[in-house]
Amino acid sequence: MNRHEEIQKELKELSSRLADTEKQEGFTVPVNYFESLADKVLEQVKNETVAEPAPKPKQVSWFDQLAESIVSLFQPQFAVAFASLALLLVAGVYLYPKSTTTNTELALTVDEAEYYLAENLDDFDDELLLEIGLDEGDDLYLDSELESEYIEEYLNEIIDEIDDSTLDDLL
Amino acid sequence: MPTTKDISDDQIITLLCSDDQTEAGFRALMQKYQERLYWHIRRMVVEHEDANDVTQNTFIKVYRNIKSFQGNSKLYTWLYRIATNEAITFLNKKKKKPTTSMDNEEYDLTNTLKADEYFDGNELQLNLKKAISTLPQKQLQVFNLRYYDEMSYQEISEILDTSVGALKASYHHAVKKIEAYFKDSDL
Repeated sequence: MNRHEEIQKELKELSSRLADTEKQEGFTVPVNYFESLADKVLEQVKNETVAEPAPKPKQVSWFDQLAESIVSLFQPQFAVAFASLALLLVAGVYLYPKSTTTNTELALTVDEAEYYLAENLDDFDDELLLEIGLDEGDDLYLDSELESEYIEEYLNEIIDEIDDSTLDDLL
Repeated sequence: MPTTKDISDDQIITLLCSDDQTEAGFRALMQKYQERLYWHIRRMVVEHEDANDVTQNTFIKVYRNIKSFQGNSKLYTWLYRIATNEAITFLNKKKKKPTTSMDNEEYDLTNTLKADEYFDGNELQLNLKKAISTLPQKQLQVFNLRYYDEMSYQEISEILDTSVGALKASYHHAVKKIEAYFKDSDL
């Protein structure tokens, strides 16, 4: 018994209905399909060989990238720059004036400062002097919300001290 | 150089592995196996256009990997295994596509086959295809390889990497299901 007969016998035992059914499938293919199939496959294979995709860049972890960056700092071209920068930092630390420390010998007393200001008052502009006065909490207080009655009261107090020409200018 | 379908697998492999005869060897391999593999794939994916794509992919894969073929199994077993895997991969991808009709429960093989210009089967053949399409994937493969390709259980075992006993059981279940389908459909 050949294989075909053996398979048919087995099928008949399981399902005589199926064993009697014609095995024709009803599928067809385009004309000359199998004659041209090898050419089509070989063409694809050759095209893929010509246009071989570029290899994907190797995946590098963040740790490897960090290590690579650190190592690159010690390359000759960076080492000179790195050494120069370090030298400048060391020199800067030693040569930079200690501005934060108080030198009592050089400090001015309040009296000396006032005397200096009085002698050189013309050298300072008005805005700077006004600013210093405000910062120190002087009575000169330019508040738009200052009530008018206080302004009148203040003017009455100082009116005698203002000379006539100044008063004319103000009015 | 032999170019007929009678060329032995050993001769094909020898040609494929020699650098200046690779193309000739590949043409001989295709001439010998392309129809068998195409029909094996077509039975699984049904439509010609899909079968054409899968068959070409199968042979491209064979071409790329032929030099790594160790000869531990028979050449046709290795080829069938690649073709089966390619067809299954294709079917799985097709099922995952949201637009595919295979996701629709109303997917009707009858309409697909009737609309396919490369199907001219009669009503009985069409119903047999419908009955086969209801089988689970493994039973469908076993049934096709036994019923249409008339392979021995040992050969099917090498292709599907399944024991002969399990294959016999699968084939018997498949035949019984098809018979039940015919009875339920009054065929």
